[in-house]
Amino acid sequence: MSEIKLLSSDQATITVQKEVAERSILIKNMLEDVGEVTEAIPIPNVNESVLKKVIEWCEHHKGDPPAQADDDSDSRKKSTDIDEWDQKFMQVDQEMLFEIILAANYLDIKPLLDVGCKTVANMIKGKSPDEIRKTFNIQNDFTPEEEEQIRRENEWAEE
Amino acid sequence: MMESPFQRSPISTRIISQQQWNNTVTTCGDSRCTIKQSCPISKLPTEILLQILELLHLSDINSMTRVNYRWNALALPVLYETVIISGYGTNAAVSEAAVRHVNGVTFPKGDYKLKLVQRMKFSTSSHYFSPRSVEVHEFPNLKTLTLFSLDRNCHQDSYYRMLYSVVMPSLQTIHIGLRCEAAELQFPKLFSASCVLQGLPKLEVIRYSRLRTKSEIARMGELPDEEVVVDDALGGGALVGKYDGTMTSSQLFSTYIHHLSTLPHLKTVDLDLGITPDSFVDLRGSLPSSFNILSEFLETRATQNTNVNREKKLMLLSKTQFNELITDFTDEITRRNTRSPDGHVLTSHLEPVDEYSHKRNQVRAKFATVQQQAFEELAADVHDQMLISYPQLSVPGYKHLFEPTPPFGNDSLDHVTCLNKIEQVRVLRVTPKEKRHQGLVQTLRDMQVYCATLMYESLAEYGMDKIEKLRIRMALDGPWVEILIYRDKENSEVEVVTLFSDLVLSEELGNMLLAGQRWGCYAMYRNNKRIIDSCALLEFKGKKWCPVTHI
Repeated sequence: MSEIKLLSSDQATITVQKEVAERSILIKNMLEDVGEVTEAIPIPNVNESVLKKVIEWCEHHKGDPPAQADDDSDSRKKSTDIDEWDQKFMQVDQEMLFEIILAANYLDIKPLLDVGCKTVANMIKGKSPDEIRKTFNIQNDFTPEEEEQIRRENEWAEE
Repeated sequence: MMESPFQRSPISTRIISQQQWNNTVTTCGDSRCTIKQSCPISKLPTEILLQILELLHLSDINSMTRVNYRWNALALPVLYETVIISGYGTNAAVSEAAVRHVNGVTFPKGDYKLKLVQRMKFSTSSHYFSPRSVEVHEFPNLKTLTLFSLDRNCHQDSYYRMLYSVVMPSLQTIHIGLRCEAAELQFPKLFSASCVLQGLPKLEVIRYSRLRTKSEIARMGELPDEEVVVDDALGGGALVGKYDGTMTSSQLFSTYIHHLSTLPHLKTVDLDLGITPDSFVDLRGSLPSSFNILSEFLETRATQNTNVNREKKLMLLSKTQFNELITDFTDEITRRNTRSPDGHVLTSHLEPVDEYSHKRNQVRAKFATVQQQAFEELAADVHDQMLISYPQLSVPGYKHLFEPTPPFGNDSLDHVTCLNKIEQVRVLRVTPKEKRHQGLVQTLRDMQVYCATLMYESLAEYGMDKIEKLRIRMALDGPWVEILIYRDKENSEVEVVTLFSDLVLSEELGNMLLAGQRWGCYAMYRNNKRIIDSCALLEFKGKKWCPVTHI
């Protein structure tokens, strides 16, 4: 089993099985273009701790069948169910959660990106605007009147 | 009236450009969040935040619009892509309040959100809806509109008037669902208002459904179609709109499609309305020539038609009766106009015809006693009623594209018999295959073939040459009959396929089917001439159903 090296943004070198690293479409395409590489591949947007976390996910999911090419229909009905292992994996602080999402996006690991988005969606579900702001530490820049006006306009969408 | 600063500068006008939004994103992260605690979610790029929003339910997206400016800018387009107004119950007053709220508060005049809406579903009571003081809105990007009325006795005129208060230049699909009694009587009216049709230049799909409760569907022995099935709680009881012998049985197919023929891009027509072989009576007869005889006759008369009562009487005749009257009447005109060289009428009255009933021959003979002026008035009435019953006659230079199709079945199979047979379908549905009455199965299949043929030919006569699919029922609540039309413009060829349902197949025929095969009727027209017309084994090949070819 061949191995490759990855170089994180904070200059840490991580050795990983080629098969695992190829969960990242970015790396997979790069390897296809370049052929054999002995030097560490720089991953400038991802630091060591996040990269390790991402590799951990890739290792667990290395045997997964390739995802369906397109399931763009009825995105609204898409479920936010997450399998148990992934749920545990995503039990990290928000800083890390969003770093993982960004890394998955950058490295083009769609299934991981999906799990990340679902995790965030689940954090939002069923909450009031105020609770959402508290959850994500978002500053409210609406006046109470503005907020009420929006609520009235969108009343049709309330439960 | 006090104006708040907010009213002077509504949210929607502040959320305009992507540029502006991007600016907000950057500033939020820096100015606010870094002071004390970080706001890590602000690091995510737009496309990921949108992906998260797409995973949320309506109510959660709604909450997101009130979180702050940037989330508002992000969530609003997602929220308004599909607008569903249905959560207000079916109480009429509440419903109207909801409609007014949406009209006035959600979409103030010229509002930015109007542009966001691509799909809209109204599922409300409509009993008291009046267009009074309703703002006329333009939804420039609305593609799909669904209008369901859950009232059992809705005022359809007022319901349809809702359509007059919206401008939908991009609308492609409209689906109307009604639950009230005899809804189909009103259906042609909906599109008879030319302003509605002119406002829908891009319409491709029209669907009309009868909303039924789950138990009604179960009683009919049909598989429920989730989209048009409502909860039993909304009113069980008798089958809504059940055929009671007086309603819609003899609605002509032409009255259903007459107005739709003005829609240039219409591709799919799906109507939960009933037709019978009787619905095409106009196509087999000699109506155009009768009509011409009448028109010519009327051109020579001096008096104007004033007799309203008789005209109403004509409306009460059944289609068959009316068609008999037209024949008898034009015969009489021909008799009166056939003169010897010295100007005398050749015969004193119409001679009896063997195959007509004694009573009919008596009436025909009596025509001769009607004075010329009264006769002209009657002719005018018949003429007017013909235009109402057979609107295609008003098309200048109208004549049949197709050879007349022979009348359906044997002569004893009249309209009432047909209906009775179709009524028995309900029995058929719950009868095991091997116990089904073969004669009935065969008759129903023949009816379906006959109607399918004439459905296509009617569409062609109306110049509806974009239609790819048409679905309608054999009689109210009866089995569906569907035609699929494949056109080959280059060779002027048209293939018309009807798939048979399980109901109209004998056990023997059903057992012959291999996987992926269906029994159906296959017809091919070349230059409007039917060159192939057969019941055949069909398979789905290359995007269409075609006859199975044996090797």
